[in-house]
Amino acid sequence: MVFSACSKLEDLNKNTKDFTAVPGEAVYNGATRAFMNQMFTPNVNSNNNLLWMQHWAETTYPDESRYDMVTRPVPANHMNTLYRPVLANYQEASRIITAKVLVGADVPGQEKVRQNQLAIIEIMSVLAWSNIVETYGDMPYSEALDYTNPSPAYDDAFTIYKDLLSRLDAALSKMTATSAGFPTGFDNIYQGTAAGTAKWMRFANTLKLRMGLMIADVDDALAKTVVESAASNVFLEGEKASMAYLTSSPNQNPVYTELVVSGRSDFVITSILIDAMQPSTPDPATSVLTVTVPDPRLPLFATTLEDGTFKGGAQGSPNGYNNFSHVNLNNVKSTSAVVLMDYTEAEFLLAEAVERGYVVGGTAETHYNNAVTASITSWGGSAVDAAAYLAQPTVAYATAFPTWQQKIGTQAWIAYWFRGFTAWNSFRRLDYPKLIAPAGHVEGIDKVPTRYTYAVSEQTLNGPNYTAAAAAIGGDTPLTKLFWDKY
Amino acid sequence: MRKLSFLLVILLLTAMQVLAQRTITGNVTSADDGNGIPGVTVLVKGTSQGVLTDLDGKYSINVPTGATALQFSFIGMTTQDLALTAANILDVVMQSEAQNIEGVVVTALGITREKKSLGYATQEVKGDAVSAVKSTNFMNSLSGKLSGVQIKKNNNMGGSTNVIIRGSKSLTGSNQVLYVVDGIPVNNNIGSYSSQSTGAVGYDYGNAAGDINPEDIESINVLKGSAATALYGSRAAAGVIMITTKKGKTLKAGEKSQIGVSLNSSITMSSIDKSTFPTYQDKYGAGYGAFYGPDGDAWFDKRTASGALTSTDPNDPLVDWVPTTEDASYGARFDGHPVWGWYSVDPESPWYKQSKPWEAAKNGAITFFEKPVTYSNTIAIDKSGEFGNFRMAYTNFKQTGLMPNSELKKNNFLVNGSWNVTKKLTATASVTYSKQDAVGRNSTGYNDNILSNMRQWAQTNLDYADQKTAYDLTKRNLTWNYNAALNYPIYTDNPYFQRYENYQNDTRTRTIGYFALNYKITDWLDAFGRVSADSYAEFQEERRAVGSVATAFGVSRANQKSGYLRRDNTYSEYNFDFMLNFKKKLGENFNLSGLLGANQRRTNNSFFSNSTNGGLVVPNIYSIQNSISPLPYPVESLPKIGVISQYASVSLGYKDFLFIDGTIRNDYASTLPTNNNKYLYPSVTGAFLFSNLVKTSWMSLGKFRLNYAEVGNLAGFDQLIDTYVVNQPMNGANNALPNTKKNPDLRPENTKSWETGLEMSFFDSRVGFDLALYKSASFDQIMAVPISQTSGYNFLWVNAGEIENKGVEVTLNLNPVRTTDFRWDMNINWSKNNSVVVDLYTDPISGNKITNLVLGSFQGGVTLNATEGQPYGMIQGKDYTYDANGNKIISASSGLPVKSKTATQNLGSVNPDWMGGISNTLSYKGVSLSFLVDMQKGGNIYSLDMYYGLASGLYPETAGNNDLGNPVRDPITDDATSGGYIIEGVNVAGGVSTPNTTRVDATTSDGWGYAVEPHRAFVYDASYVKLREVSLSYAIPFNILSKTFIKGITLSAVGSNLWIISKNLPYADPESGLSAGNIQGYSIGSLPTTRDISFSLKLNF
Repeated sequence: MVFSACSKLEDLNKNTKDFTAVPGEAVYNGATRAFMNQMFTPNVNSNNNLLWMQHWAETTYPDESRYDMVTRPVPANHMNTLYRPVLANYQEASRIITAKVLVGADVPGQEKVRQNQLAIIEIMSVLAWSNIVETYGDMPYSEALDYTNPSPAYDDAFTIYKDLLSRLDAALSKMTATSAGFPTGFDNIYQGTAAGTAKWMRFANTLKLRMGLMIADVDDALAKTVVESAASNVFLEGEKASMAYLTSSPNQNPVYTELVVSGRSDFVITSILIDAMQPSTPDPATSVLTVTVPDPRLPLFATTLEDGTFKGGAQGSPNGYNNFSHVNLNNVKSTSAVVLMDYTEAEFLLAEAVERGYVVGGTAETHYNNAVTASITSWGGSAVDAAAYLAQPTVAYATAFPTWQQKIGTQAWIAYWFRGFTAWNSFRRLDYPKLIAPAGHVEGIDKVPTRYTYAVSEQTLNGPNYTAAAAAIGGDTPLTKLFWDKY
Repeated sequence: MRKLSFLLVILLLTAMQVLAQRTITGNVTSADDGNGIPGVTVLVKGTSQGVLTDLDGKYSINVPTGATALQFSFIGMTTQDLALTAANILDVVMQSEAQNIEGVVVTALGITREKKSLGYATQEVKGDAVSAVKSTNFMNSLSGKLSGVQIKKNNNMGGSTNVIIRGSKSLTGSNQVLYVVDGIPVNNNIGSYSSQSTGAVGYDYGNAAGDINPEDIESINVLKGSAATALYGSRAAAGVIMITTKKGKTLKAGEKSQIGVSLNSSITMSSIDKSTFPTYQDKYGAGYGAFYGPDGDAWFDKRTASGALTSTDPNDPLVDWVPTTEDASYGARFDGHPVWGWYSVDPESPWYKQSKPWEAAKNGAITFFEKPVTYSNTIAIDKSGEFGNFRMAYTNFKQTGLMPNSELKKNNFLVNGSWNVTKKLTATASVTYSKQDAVGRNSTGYNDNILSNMRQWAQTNLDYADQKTAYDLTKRNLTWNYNAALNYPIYTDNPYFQRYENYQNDTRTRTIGYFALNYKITDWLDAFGRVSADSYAEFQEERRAVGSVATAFGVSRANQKSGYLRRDNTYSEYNFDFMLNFKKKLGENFNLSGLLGANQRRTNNSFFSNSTNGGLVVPNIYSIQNSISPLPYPVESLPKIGVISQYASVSLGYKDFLFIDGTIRNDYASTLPTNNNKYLYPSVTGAFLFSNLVKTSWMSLGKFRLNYAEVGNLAGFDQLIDTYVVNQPMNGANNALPNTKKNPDLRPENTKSWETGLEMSFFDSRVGFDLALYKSASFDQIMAVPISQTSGYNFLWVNAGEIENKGVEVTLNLNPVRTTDFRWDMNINWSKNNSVVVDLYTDPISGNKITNLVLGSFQGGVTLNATEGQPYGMIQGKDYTYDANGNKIISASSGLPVKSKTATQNLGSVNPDWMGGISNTLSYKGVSLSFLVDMQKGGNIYSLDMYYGLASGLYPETAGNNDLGNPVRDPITDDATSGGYIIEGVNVAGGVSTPNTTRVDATTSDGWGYAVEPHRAFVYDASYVKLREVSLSYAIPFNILSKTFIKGITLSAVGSNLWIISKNLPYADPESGLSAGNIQGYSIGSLPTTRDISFSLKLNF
């Protein structure tokens, strides 16, 4: 018998279809897309902040609105996405870009671009890490993202947070505003141009501003330093960090995917939001704002019923889809951008900084008015409408509410439409508006949750470290207050 | 034929000694029909002295002094030696060779051995056992007929059959048995894609062993333990089903050339076993509660007859509309009042703007199904002669399914032959070609599955005949489940639209063939060489018509409202074998035989799949280029595996009562790293045939056996070197790290097993048993262990883990009645396997132990697991909480059970406690009646159907009266008119338990099912007792046919799955599953089981 000759049996095991090396910018691009999808999808398996923030209510299966985190394991999915598709890949992109050998005419120029790329990855990494700390508390950090240590220890949340602030400063210091970043097509936030690099730097400062304020209740001195060093370089009017999507699947806007492509009718807008945006006589127990001048954003956010009115559904109960206003799909196209941070948020943050006594320039009222106006105009409302809206006593800064927390918190809550995590951060920091747990909430969770519970998989795959972390933060429950959430 | 042989042998036998001491007389009858056999040679053992039986099978022989035994022989029957006793009458029952229990069996590598010399358990069944019932997978017919073999068919048309021998040995790899046909390993890939096995949208494409044509099977021998399969190496770690195909008869010396023709024709008719399909409650219709109307408090939607939500015209008022968005039956009580609904919406609907009375459907879900019919026709011709032998056969098989628009066809061609080229050289070759075409397989799982709707999310008012009328008239998707705007479906398509427009189709063509030469070098040494190939090509097309509900579809599995997907998959395996076989008598007492062999195996697979993206541009054109959005990246893979092996086996027999075998095999595998890719493993077996040492009259056979074996195993393709994931570009290219970290340091896996057994038969083989005890440990398994996702990966390929299986198998053969005309045979199989996951993974750096491995995650938060210290296949989910006395704790405020905090409670293993089968065959002259009762005790199955179906109010359990005699769905009041119900359990306050008296409000869908009870409530005992098979056959007696050219006519009627005598899973078959594989114990949207009755006619010329 003649056996056909084979050079080496081992060669058969070569995977001839997949890549063993890829460019760093492609890994950065994929990680950023995964990050944006996770932050902005309203899919009930991945992200429930729009429900928790009581912008949306569910029609048939109100489990998430009632704080059920087991039926659909949102905390596990969020953790998994942020660590693996996002942060592990940012780390990998950095590794590949750092290792790249520069050749050709302008090596020093290329080096500046490389440093800009690494800094951009660092800014996005800090954003992802800050979200992890703000969402769960203590988490694996210094030992994380290393497969040779499959059960990393948890680090103290505040320690991580301080390290993130210094990483952000270090990234900023490496950037050259006149050099480009990623090649076109790989940076879908600022398109990688030199002009984009400058915007990246303002985005980083806006993030720093927010992170500074996040720790204001726990370390005022550090917060002041951070906020004041960032404030002069934050977003200018009309600026934002956002990522536009494409026309076709799988790169469609995640809200469009869930509301339009899915063909389902899972969500209506809550009465809490609708009643806060139009003259109404809501139940005082759940009312967060009364207006006499309708909010110009209402028709931009919501659809009317057949009779031309707006009506919201009940939070935490099943709702007949027909009977209530839905998300207005005019602002939700497949290509629509998701907004990570914008001028509106920067102005709300500056208003807060002024109220906290930090030297950031301007008055709280100006910043507040800028924020509300920017929010209205960014959704398509006019400046005139914005002025009329702001003029009414329940909205005007001077008369709106007794405390600055409630003034800013209530308006920020409306402005952070589609931005669940931003709204939840603001709500937990400022403790306004006064959202209450719906009837039928999961037994024992009688307030709006202040954190995600740890992923169930951590109990089995990283048990001892999980147990220690749960004890360190005061219990792995949704109502445990995180280190920065003093009030 | 027997009479012909009779004359022949008379001519041959001329010399007969007459000197004798005494005369022995007797009857020789056939075990097949009990008739006397003429022409049987009766020889005095050790002499040439003999006689033939007469036309009635009687004989009379003079036996010299000192003779110890008589030998009875006849062509096609097993030669028997019977010891002489004082008696002068000796009756003999001759067994056909094929069904001979103690004869020659085919062992690993196609080596035939005397069964009595084997040191391990094997079990043989005749081809009839799998061809009597016409099934798309021949293994379905073996359930209950083999001990230690778990065979689980599911009800999917052409679906896969799960076959596990002696428990699952691999944590994450395949535990499916290896099929070997005439020495050729046959691929048995399970054809399901993209998480179909855990309940995602998909189809069960069957397993490839289903291509083996039962009509061509002569016999099946099951090799259960590692010692039996050691020569096949690692791929046989889960056991081997050895199949010998029918061939032209090998002639014995002096026999004349013969031609045989056989025709076999059958029709099978099937009908639903209603105990495996839901019974709906008939009191309440569509809805989730009183959530409708403009104020959200009515039982019905309020619209005008033409569908407007507001009305200003008093002549066109708001009327009651069935809430079409709702897929539950927690709505208004049926009262016959006129309601508008899905049927009133479309201008083409015959009931446009019209109402129907509010009542339970006249044509409920069960009327949707068709009555399946199966036709099977086989013609076979064979010829034997001095040249060798030859057989050709063709089988045509056609089955229509339970679902409308479903059909499966198979065409099988077989040619095999053996040619005596010279006296020393024999050439054998075989080619089988088969083609299977299926249209309209049923989709499985949670979404897009009509059965999941029927079992979980349905309106009891839905009349299927109306849906059919609507589809037939319009060919459009006029569904019962419109969205709120009544303009397109929300969750569910019209089921007829789905079956006739969104159907799939697939084709598999397969060729299996070999060419072998055997050269007799000397009388004790043969050289054997063989090349063989098994190759198949699959082509599959899946469709979603324009107008369908968006569902996960295409290669991206994103939600799509329409689309087309195709898969092209080819697989081939080539084996080159070379063997030297020797067999030599060493002196008086020793027999030595053995072999030296080498094998080279190559498998090549090529998979390519693509689909449209974002929908179809032009309706009804199913083509990849008909894509709205740019095409996604296709799925493309080219895995290859090569193994080079050398092996040796030696068998030593001492005085026909002691047999020792040893084997050793060395594999060199392409999939392991260079320094770890060669591995050696041995086996040793022993058989002690004490009945040949101590001869008694009452013991026909007594054998003790013992063996030990090790088996190494290789890794899968491409588990060593990391590669990146390539995603669709997001403007620029988009790459990512994979979620599993590969490992360049993998080592081969190892299994070690022990087995011992005792086989005895008594009283002329009228009572016999075979007992086997075994223990196997599989360790160093190559698997992807889950690690903390904070490490940046979800899984890490490692060598880790150990599963131990221990078990007992008993086969009992009884022959309570054996007279000339009547015979009763009984066969009992019983087996018990205990598996335990001994160890999973300990991280070498941190020492962190992983004690649980999730095998599958199911809808609803239930998982199937390998958990340390537990049987393999543990269902985990939320349990009740219990007080110190084990009472369920119920919340005093809500009346609801207090669920465990975590969903990781062990709720039961999917493995049966034991399995058994009892078959009885009663034969009287040519009539034979047999029946098989097949049973499984224990094992658990989680029913997502009940988890959701109770919450959606489909079942009578949710619509009866409560303890007060009031409708349970009535509101809770504080008096005797109260509805609601009390869950048995205790309220605990201050550590004191008091019986629960708080009623659960059951006015809405929150009252039952998943909203109320923990997962524990939906885990059912999977035990069953089934009347698996009843067959009645009549072979027309030889004397009637003797004057015709027909040699045999057999008429038979066979019923299978006639009666589920006992089961605990409501409304479904506890055997039903999604597909074969490691994910079992999950009942979700399965087709009902059918009772199949077939009639067949077999003619032999």
